[in-house]
Amino acid sequence: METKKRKPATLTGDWAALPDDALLAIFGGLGHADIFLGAELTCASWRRVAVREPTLWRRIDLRSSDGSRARSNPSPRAWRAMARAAVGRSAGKCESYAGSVDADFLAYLAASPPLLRSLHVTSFFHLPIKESAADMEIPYLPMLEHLMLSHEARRFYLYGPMGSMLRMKLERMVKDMYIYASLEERTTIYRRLNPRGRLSMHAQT
Amino acid sequence: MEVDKGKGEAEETRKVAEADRDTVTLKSSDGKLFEVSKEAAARLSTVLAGMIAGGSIDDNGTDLKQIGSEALENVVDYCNKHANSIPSAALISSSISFNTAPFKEPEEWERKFVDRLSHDALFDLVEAANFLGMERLLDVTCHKISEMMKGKSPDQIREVFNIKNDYTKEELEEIRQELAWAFYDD
Repeated sequence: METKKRKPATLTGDWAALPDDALLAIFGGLGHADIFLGAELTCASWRRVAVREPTLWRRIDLRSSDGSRARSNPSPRAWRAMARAAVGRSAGKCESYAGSVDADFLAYLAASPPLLRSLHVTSFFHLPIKESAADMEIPYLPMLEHLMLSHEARRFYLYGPMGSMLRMKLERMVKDMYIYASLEERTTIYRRLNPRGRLSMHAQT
Repeated sequence: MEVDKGKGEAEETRKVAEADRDTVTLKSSDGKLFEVSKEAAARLSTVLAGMIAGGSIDDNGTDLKQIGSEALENVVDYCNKHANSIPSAALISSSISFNTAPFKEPEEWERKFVDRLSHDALFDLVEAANFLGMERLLDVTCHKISEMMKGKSPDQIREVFNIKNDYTKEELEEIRQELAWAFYDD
């Protein structure tokens, strides 16, 4: 009984073999671009966990992260593919999305199970002006409570040549809408009464 | 019957005495003993809470054969520090944000606690936290690991954690291509 036991073989410090729950907690602390471009390409066991677990993709954050100088900047096409793959991996459980959008992607979101409550648009995938956001078909997202435009998307909305058309479309879609500008004047938030009549707002600093 | 009754009373007394102790003793895989606040252990670890409630705590040191002494020392240290800290707003707040996970930021002392650990110690502590069902400690250690991975390329991550690349070059390229080309043809 009292014989000293050596460490069991499972505790060999093999980071590739971390428990699934630990890997999920680690990946949960990363933006999803960091998962696509870093973590899941590290080794096969990490990718298996990242791809397989829908809860990891419930709140998608594909805002471009800074501090990624170590990696080459993904092309707009790669961002589009990541956005779709992320929604796919959520297996219909996606509740919020933050990142770039275009008409195709919004249509794809609208065709997914309607759980999306929060949409944060940072840019419009750098589309050429003729396909710009103003002509964009904006689908109905029944559960949407929060819509935020920031970065390029906000600049486009406020100052872009086609911004007024987008404004009209959004005003039709969003019931109780107004502009919120943060202290740094970086973000714009619209809000509306959600179907349950609860008014809520999230400010981003 | 008389004997049985006496025995029962003695048992009862022993149990009361045990319940009165406000620490429990844990024994690592290499036989070292550690005292930990019973309240904190029960609050922070679902496994220890179950053992305490189920009476499977041994006064002479409850065997935790899966955990080495260095990791257990850190676990106990964390529990005892936690017992003395007042939960701040950071622990309680959980407002919906646009971030990926509703993770509650580590407290200053928790940050310092994990920052001083070597990679090996960090790894062992993650495994210990996972084994003992310590959600908060798992979150705090994993948060540290996330920070170490942010913005890094797969090569850099492998280097930091000494992970073997078990992808072939072809497989890796295939995954990349799959991602970039799956839905768009230029």
